[in-house]
Amino acid sequence: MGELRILNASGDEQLEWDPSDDKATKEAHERFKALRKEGYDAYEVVDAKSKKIERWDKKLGKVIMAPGARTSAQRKTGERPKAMAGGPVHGEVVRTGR
Amino acid sequence: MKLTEQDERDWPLRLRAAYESDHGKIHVVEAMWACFDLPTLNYILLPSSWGNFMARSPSGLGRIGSGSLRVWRPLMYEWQHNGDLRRLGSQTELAWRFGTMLAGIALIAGDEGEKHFREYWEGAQKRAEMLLREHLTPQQLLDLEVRGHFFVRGEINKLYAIDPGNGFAICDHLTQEPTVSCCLHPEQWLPHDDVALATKLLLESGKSGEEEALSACRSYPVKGKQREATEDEFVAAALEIDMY
Repeated sequence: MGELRILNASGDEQLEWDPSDDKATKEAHERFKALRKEGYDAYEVVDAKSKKIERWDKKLGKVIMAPGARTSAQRKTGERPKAMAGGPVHGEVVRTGR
Repeated sequence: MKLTEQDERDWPLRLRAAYESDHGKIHVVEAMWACFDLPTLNYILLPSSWGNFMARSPSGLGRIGSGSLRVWRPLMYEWQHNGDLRRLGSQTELAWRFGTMLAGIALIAGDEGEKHFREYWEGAQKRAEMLLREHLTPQQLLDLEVRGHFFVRGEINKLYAIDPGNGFAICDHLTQEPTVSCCLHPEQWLPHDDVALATKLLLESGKSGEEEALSACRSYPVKGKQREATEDEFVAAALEIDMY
């Protein structure tokens, strides 16, 4: 059984598919493609080790989809609206007392 | 007024569906907030904070003013005794904004709304925590319990510390002390533990993943932590990589 865990505001969303079930496999594949288009990265987790994957394979096991990182230049073009980017850092001084 | 495409993306679908079916369509049109600072010697307290929400429901346009909005407000700024004003991090602020919007929606919808809100907010945090813990090694779990952060090895930098809710840091691999603090998280709110997991996966995915993380993050050197390695530390590091 393949498993897709999608990190989102509800915590995570789970989608399973059986490679022998074409309908479920297609649904999972469509979801994978849509999330990749939105800027999500996909990682296959095997024995507590993760590996980034670029392409769908119906024989994939456990896959976690998480927002990818991108630079501020990419962010401005709106290519990856949900991706990770940097913001103010904990402890950053915004105004000095001097 | 209609929900924009951005609203459609930002407002969690599951929550929106609940409000559309049970309470008619409720659209959060605008959410603003303001806060006052009360500086003391070492820190700022935020004694009052409120948000103004304008929301459209079937019965018309409603406004929720101050005093009726239940929000929690983490300490956003810290005023140091030398007069410096330090910001406490964008992940915290993002969580506050998102939570404030949810609280506003809950207020509009009444008791049912509050129940949905609690389930959604607390449920999301719990699920994220469980998922993160599933993917940590025993040592990482121990570090998270004891120190509040866990370590990840890299190729470009040997050691990173990931602090849920507070980005990650490049650490000295000999002393484990942070040297550069880095902020990296999605523009839309994700539970802190989900962001920590996403960061861990990215940093462990290899050199290209590390490069992506380092180029996209906003970094800030940790004061007093940059120094030259001592001779003993240099030799120890050299032995580790079979240099001697």
